[in-house]
Amino acid sequence: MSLPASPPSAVPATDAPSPPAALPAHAREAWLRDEIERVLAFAMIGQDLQSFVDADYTYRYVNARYALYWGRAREAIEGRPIAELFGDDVFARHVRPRLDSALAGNEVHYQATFDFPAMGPRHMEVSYMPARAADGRQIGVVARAHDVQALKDVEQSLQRAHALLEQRFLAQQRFIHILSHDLREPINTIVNFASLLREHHAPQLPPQAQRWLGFVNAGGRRMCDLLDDLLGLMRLERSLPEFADVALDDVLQDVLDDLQSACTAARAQVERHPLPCVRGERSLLRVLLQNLVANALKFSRPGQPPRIRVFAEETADAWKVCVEDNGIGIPQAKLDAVFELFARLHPRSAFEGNGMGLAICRRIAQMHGGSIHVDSALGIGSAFRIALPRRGAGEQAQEQ
Amino acid sequence: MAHIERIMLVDDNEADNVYHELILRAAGFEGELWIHETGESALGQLGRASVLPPCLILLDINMPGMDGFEFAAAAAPLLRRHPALIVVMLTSSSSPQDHARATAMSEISSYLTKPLTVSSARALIVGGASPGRH
Repeated sequence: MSLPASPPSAVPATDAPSPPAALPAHAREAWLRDEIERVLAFAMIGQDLQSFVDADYTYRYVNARYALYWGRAREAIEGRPIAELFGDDVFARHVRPRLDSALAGNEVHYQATFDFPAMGPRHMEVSYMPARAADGRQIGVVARAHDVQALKDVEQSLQRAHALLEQRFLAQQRFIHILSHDLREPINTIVNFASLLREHHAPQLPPQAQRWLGFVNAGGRRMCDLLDDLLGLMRLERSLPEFADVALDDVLQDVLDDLQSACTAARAQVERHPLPCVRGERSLLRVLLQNLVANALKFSRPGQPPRIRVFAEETADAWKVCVEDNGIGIPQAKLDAVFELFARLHPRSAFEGNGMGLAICRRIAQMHGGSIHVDSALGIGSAFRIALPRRGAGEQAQEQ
Repeated sequence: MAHIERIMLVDDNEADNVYHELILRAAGFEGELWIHETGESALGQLGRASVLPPCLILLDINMPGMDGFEFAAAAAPLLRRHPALIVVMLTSSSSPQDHARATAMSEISSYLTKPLTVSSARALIVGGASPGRH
């Protein structure tokens, strides 16, 4: 095998291999031959493009991979100037300045896309390592190029996906804005003037007109409620909850204060048991409890004052907060459906509502890493259970 | 061409039922009108009747309990026995999925999107009883 003149010594002098000193002369020669074979194999074989370039910007050595990418035989590369392969322009602008830096003794790392004759454009991760002779003279550069086109492709598709998501997010923000402002304005106009008509001119209106006006009013109010809930739900979708320690007893107190007049009107009895302290966002947990208690009040049996029991059960890894009622109950077949968005089991004339309350409850439970579940018996009552993860034992110990 | 003499409205929204009655009357409908706020109660009336006269059923999709599609499916045997019962979807849903689903159901003759207008009501009254079922 004919050897290029310099490469075997083209490694930093300190790391240059040398045969064990004790070997006799013929054995040293054999050792050196083997060592050269090993080093060559090491350089020739591999996924990376490798070359040794001398101080005159001439290829002294390239590996098989290098030859493959350029679509030439090794012999048609070695001994030729780099500029011949890269072209004068690319060589002068991209390769030469970096080679000069490496020839001055610096390690150079960069990424660039090269248009290889046999492979097309490939994005490469390139390193230039300065190579010195045994006497410390700078004799060339070892170049190693790693093909990262596949990574680049993934990165680009991720970037595209990210840009698309960003665009969608902005579109959603605009949509929320339209809902909350542009849509609310005309609805308010309808509700306001329908109310004024009723207050000031109802006596002058024939009964039929009064009834129609009632529909206008009720429809407008329903639209307002729907809009509020829809916006609430969309905000849930786009925000990450801010968790703190929340005493559910306090939250329940707020809820009951809020619903006090409704409780009194319905002659409801509320039986409270101690509730745990959980990690969560207070405002969301309040919506959750409020929806469940309000439902327990609403879906009561005619002539049966609501009896509502709120209590907690402790399991190994979760708290289950339970809101139990003695109301009309839910048919077995509909137990899962009640948590779907816009699910309503009853005509509006029987029970008001837009079918969003329990969907919001489920979403809030999920945002807390929990779930919601209902057991029910028709004509007897329902029990909603919110499972919320318990804080880890370590976390509790830390706080004590 | 026979005029429709009976119409059944199946819609959970009271205001819509009142409005649809007004529009149907304005379109010249003088026959009998039955109103149901749930699919269950509409199905109950149809099931109880010993004789079912020709009737146009205007059916909402989105109702609590049994929805419009469930109603049509449950009424299928009845509709097969009584070809003079015509079901027309009348819904505020303009979603292509709902439309496609309704078109695919042989029980549903046609699909109208709210609001019901006097001219489309007139077309229903005059032409609705002709066999449009596919």
